[in-house]
Amino acid sequence: MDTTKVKKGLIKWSRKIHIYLGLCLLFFIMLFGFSGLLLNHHWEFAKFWENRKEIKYDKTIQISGEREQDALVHEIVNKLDLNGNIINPRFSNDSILLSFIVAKPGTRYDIQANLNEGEIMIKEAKFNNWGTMRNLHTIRNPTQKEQGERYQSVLASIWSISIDVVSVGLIVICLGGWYLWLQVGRKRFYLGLISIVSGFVVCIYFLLF
Amino acid sequence: MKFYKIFKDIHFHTGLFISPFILIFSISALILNHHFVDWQEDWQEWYFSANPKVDEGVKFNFPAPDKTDLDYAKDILKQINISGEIAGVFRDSIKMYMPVTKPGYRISIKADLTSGIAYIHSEQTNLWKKLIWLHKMPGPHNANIRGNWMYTKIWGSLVDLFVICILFSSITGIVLWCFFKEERTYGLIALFIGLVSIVLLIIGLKN
Repeated sequence: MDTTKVKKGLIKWSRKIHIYLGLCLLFFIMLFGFSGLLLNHHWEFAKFWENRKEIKYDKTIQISGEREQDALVHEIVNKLDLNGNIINPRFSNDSILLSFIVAKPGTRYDIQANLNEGEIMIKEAKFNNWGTMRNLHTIRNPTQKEQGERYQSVLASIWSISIDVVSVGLIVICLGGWYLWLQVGRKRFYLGLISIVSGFVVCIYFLLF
Repeated sequence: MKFYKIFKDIHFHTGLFISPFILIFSISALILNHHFVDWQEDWQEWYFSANPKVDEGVKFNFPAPDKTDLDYAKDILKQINISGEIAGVFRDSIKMYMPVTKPGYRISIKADLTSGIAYIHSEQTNLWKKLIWLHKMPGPHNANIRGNWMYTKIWGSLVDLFVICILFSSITGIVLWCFFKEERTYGLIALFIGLVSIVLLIIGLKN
């Protein structure tokens, strides 16, 4: 096989993948980058918890005789027609009250259900767009320890997959970029070497500190 | 063409400089999302309660009582020669508990405020947890004390620089793409797919 041809093909495809993947992930990269900045700083304009809008209301629903926590929580969430991740379900000591949180980007519901009466107390908190962005950055799959304490909605699971796609995509963009850098002329190669080595030195220093 | 060359150089150098940061954040994002590593472990027990295990006890002089809890803790840490980000300070009249973190380590320090002895227990973590530490620092929690170690402050500034560079690299990438006539159609499709996916997902998640 002609090696020059293979090399040309590799350069061509690395370049194409670098461009298309970069464009496809552009908005995700911008969202995660900017929301990362928001998480690391406590800017006055981006405060979300202090600026939340909170309302409280009660609802009465028919609750079945089911006393298994997972099934009960899902039954209540379905009957209240809520969407989102279910977090931290807890029975009271006498097992009459069941409390949990339903959270989705921009909204959080604190639920307390009286299982005997079917009365549900709901505290709904709405966050501003900065809060929504922070929520989007921190959505992740529940850990093994959180099984039974955290249930992910289908859309949140898809969002978690998109986090994987962005992460793997960025690694591919990096690798493609490095390959393209290795193909440039000698002068540009050495200038590029200075940039990449400075990045690596900083990161390795912090990793090995 | 001069304009093109300038953008190409900026994209080339910022891209190469931030590539190791991209690897750190991408790999740690995958770990955080999938838990290949049990990164949560027993952090709550570690964070909120003094570890009964003790590696050594080190004597310290009592800092000035008018200091804030954080400064008091910093003073003790300096005397017992331990560096790291103080994750929390729990103090009463007879003891002070300080969980301290740094990449690769988590250290429990229980200072006895009557005898002036600090009981130290240090645990080493692995490379994956170091990556997670770097991903999550300085982060949104404990905002009033976070960034109390110089290393965390510097890392925080570097992360800011990384984000600015990645945003800058994205913008220069778009400008460069505009110069490639043959890539415009498929590039537009890729951009459109990305935009539609993120918009639909956010709308779905919010409603």
